[in-house]
Amino acid sequence: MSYEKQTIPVRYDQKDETICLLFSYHGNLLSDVPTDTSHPIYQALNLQLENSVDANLLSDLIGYENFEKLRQASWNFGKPCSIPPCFIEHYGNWDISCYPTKLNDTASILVNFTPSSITTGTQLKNSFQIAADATGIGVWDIRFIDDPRSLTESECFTNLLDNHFIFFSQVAKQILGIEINKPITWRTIWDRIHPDDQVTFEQFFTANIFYDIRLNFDCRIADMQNQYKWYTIRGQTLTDQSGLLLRMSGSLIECTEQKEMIHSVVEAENTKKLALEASGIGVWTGNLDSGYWQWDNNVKRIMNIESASVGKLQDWTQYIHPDDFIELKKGLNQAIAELGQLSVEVRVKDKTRQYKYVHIKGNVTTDVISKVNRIDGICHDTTAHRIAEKRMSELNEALEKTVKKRTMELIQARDLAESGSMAKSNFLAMMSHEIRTPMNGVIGALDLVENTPLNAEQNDLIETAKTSALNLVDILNDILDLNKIEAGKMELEFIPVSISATVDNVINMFTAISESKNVELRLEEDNALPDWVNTDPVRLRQILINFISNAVKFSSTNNEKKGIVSVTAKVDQQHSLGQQKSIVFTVSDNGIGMDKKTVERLFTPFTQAEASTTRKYGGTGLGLAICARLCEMLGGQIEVQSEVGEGSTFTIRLPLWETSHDSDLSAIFGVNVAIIGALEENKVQWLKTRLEQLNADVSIVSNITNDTLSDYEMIILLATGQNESEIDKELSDLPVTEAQKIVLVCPRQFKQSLWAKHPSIQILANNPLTRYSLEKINMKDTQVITENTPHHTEKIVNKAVDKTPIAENLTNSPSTILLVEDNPLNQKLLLKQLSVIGYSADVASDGEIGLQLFSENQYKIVFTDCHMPKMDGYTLSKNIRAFEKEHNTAPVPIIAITGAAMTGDKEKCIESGMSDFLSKPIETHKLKEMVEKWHERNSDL
Amino acid sequence: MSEIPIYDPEVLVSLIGDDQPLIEEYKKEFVKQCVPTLRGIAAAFNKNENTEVKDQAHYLKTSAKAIGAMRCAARLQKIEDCALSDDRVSLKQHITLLQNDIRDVKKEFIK
Amino acid sequence: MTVKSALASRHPQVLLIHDRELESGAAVIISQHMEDFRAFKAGDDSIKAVKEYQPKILLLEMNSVKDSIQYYVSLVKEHNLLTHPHQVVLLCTNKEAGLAYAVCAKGTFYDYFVSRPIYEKFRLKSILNNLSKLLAIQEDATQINDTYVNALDGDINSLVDEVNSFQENIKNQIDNCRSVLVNQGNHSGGEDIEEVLSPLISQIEDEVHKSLANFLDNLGKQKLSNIKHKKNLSKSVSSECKFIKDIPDDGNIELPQASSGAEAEDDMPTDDMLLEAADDNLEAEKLLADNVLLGDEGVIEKKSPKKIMVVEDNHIYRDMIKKILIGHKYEVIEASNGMEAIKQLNKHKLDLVLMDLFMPELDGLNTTKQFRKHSGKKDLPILALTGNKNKDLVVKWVSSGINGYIMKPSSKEKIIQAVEEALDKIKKN
Repeated sequence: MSYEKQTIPVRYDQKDETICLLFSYHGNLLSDVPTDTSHPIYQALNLQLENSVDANLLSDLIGYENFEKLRQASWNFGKPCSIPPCFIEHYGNWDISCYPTKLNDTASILVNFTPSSITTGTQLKNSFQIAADATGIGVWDIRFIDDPRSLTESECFTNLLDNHFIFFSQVAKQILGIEINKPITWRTIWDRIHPDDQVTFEQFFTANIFYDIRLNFDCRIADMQNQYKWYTIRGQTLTDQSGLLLRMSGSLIECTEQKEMIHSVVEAENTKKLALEASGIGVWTGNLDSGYWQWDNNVKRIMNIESASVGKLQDWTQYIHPDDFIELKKGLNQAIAELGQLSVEVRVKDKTRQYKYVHIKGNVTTDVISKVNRIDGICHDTTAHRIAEKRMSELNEALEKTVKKRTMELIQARDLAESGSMAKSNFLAMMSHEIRTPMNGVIGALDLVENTPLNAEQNDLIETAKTSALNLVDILNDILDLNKIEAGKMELEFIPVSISATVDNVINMFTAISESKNVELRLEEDNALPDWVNTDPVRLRQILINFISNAVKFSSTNNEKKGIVSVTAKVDQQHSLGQQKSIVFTVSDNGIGMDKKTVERLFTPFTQAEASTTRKYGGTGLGLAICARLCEMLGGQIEVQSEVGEGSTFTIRLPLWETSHDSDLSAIFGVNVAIIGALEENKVQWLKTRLEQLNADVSIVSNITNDTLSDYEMIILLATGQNESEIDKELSDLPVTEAQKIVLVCPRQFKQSLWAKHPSIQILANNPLTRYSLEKINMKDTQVITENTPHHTEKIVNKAVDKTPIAENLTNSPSTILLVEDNPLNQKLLLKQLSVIGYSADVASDGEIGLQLFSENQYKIVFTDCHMPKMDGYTLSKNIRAFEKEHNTAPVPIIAITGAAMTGDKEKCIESGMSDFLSKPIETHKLKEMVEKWHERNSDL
Repeated sequence: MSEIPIYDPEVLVSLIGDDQPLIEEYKKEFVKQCVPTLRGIAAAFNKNENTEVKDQAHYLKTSAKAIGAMRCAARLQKIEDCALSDDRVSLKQHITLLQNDIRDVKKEFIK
Repeated sequence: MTVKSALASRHPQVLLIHDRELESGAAVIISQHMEDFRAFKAGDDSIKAVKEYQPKILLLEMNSVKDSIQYYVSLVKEHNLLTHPHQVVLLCTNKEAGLAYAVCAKGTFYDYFVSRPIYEKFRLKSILNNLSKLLAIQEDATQINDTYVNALDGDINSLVDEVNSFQENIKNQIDNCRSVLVNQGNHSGGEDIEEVLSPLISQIEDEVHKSLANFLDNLGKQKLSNIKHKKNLSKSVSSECKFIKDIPDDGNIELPQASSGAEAEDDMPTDDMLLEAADDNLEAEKLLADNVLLGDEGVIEKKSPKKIMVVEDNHIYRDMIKKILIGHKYEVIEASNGMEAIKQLNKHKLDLVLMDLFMPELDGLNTTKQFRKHSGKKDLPILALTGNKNKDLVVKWVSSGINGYIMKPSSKEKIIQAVEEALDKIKKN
């Protein structure tokens, strides 16, 4: 390829006489060369150019070998390089260096030519020089003009320094950090020698010159950055035959690294020594071949070796406890055998004849031919360490002991607390049982007395006694409840519950008493109330009962005003979301009211508004406390508003989840209904809405003519009459046929008498009218609407309860009932109750006897108390079931008579195989129901 | 269900002709028939008697179709089907909806 | 070992030569599979056999593969046999299977089969089948007892059908592609593709046709059997049944005319049409046009009005029908359930009965049966009133003795029409 010659500016530094030329990679001259010049290189090049332009001029100039060297070196190593001064014929010695470069992407070399600085001194081309250069040894050479020994030492030295007939090799200059081209003398160097070393320098040089003492010393010389580096200077004078000093030459080597290494080694040595000394660790070594043992002072001190003795193992070990010595020997041998480590603790008797503990460690190593020949190790005094250890473990033990003791104490305390709590629960359970049992007796007896002929006064007294007894039982239940809640053992059920049914049930409990107190009971129920919600029916009832009970209790009618208790149940749509409804119950009264302080204390147990309240109004004072807790458990809130003399309003908010319940269609589905008459405010519309919710077709008829009613299947008459006869007339006046069903809504007190006159109509009480009662309306012919009444407030219903004997089964024929009860009073009572309903029974006073009787006879029902001596009710039941299984007989109904009606008991009854349970106090009609239920059929287990 | 017309007066016409008073009479009769049938269905449902439900529904379906109360007829068919498959939940729904359908027809009759 | 000589052919096309003292299981299998077969132990007999029969398929079952090959070589070289087109199958032991495979891979023999022990007799049969096809040996020689081929069960059949339908799909797709190509006028590649595609397509078409032919065959056979069945069914119905004209007259149910075996059958009787129409369209709306009344109103006047009994529990509907009938000068006897109906049956001389089928207590169907049981009432026409479209039920009705039906609520015209037709038919007969 051809290169176009380009004009490249030539650097011709006249001061330094260095020129720079660009050559191609093949040695072609690329730079322009001035033709009229006296510079030798140019002249040489020009000469050659005349011969051929494209030749490898560089090679021709400096020789092919050098050219190759240059090229290779620069291009292979990619960096500037220089070759030793080369001789260009006719033109002297030149230092040549080059840089690899690129010109228009083609490789080229920039070559510097510098006249070689050999102005004075010999030109050293010999192999020594080359070798020296190659190995980084700087060479220096001085020529003496006069014999230096003719002068004084100091003069001589001064001359030496300033002698400029001196050659320093390039390498020498390099390692001194001096520019290669710069002519230097020893003075130049002298100025840079460390002051401390200058003395040495002078001494050695003069010594060598005058006394022929070998010149060989190290000194520090500062480099260009003023950093001191170490150099070794060696040299020797040379004389001719006549003994005249001609010259002196020598070498100059940098030895900074070695110096530093030596220093660090020495340092390390020192440090080690110091450390060892400080730590008191002794170092020893043993040569196993020669049997020669060595140790340092520390070892001596530790092992109590006399200073003089050294070399033999016995000396080392003389003060070791004999037993330990054996150990040591063993360890040694083992280490040697296994090429392993030695580690033993020995006791050494010291000068005071006390034993101290010494730890000896060693390492066995081999020589080159793997023969075990030496062992090196340390030993140190571990006495202090030992003592510390011992103290530590003692401390630990003590600590552990303390902890154990503490734990024991805590366990004891806990057990005590637990047993205390258990004792309390047991006490309560027992107490409940102990109280219920006589209570059962009392109530049962009163129940029976009621059935005997009594006069009004006696009846009244009996009623009072019974009510009191039942109240006492209530109080007991309350106490147990509160206790259960506080103990966190109250479990809530979540089953579908009808709010309307619950409200109806509760309201009906208070109709009698409010009537007797002449207090009006009002009720407002939202038609938006969900049909079924998931909650605990018992607790919901409990809450409502408590509040209404209080309201009724603290209301009264006097001359100034009529006592009113009004209850509402509504849905708070704003706080309801989806299926979760916020149901709000309010119970208000216009009674005595409470002051602020009382309100604050209201929900704490055993607090009533005043101390006197209890006396006047009765009650346990627990009701509200329980309600508050229950409400909390159901996730609700209670608010109280009260003003003294004006009355109080309690608002209970409960979040209740609507649930679907597989129920039937309404009994008045699709029935055509007419509403006639009036109720207060917009109650009529409410009624219509409710009936329509029950899928009836409702029309409100305001004007009765003979015709208009004929289309309707059912007529609901909202009586407006104030007394029985008025209402009776309204009824009779209705233009209805036999086929049409009539529902009368009128005050409760007239129900019985009106019913007697018009037996085929359905009557709903309107004071108050409950939502649930409307669900009871049906199209059946036989009208049996009974209200949900509890046992102790509805006088009328109680009397009407059917207690007629079921069967005429008296004592002549064998008893079909087995009664297992330990308390004689209860035995007597139950027997009497059973005989009232027409049954006789065999009695066993404990489980064992009961089981025996069972095995001997055939019974259709077994009544058993749960808590009895010897064998209790549960065990008896289990045994009976096992007996039946053995004999392959059909299971006989077992009814438990439980006292403590706690949730767990029910499960226990079921588990032991019982079929049902009655809780004390047992009333006759309940007993009758139970017998009716089970007597004539076998239990389906 | 909503695409089925509540009442198609043409049906009656094609059956008995354009005798308006007669038509009115039949309409009244039908409405009268609905009442006890609806209750009968509800009562049977409450007693869980599926066959009775089905029979009652079928019975009313005949006249519903004859009268032209198309939606009622369709609803009654659904009731029949649910009774057959003992789908109590849907059955309850349809019975409740039937009440609406009958009300709607009554309204249509008056127009 | 003996071959069933009764079946042994004079000129067996398939020969097995073996070296065994014991039975060759392979020989047994082959003899069961085809007639044209004999087996010989290696020896003079075998050589004679080869000479004489010149078998097209030769099976060699010597002690070792090597022996078999040697024997074969000897046959050819020494005895100058097997100069005709033939194929050889190597029967070997399990151990030598690899060797046999290698030998066959070289093209020496047609195929090999592990005959000791026999793992898969079907394999052997398959080889023989293929060879037979290859050498065009007559089919009946190879398919006597091949019950397996014929006994594909239902599932397989349907799968086979599925496959055939896929082929049909492919054919269609190809046709589409073809036409698309033609339309696009893709000159550079179109014709080439056509050329390549056409033979492929015609091949697929052939295959599709073949399978379809089978399928159609089966369908045709099924149709025939169904028709026969229907015929039998219709015979059990009395001839009065053939008058229902409110059924659309479209007996055009498409069946492709199958290749063979379609009997020349009678025209389907009208009761058939009854059933088919019940399949298609049970809407009573498709009656004959109003202007074609079959029964002439007023033309046929009887001396006494016809008595029709209406049995229907819904009184509204019953009333409507009653009014309609009375409006057309019929006398109406009402009954609200089956029991009543039966009671009334004997009291009056009835000409026709309209009966609701689904009534409580005795339902329409059972009432009809009761009716029919009574003496001499076989010719009393009974028309069902029903809201049901179920064709299974329709069949049931017909077999219980019901002559026709009316869809509730129907219309005045239709009801009268049906009644008149029924009465007419009676008159005719």
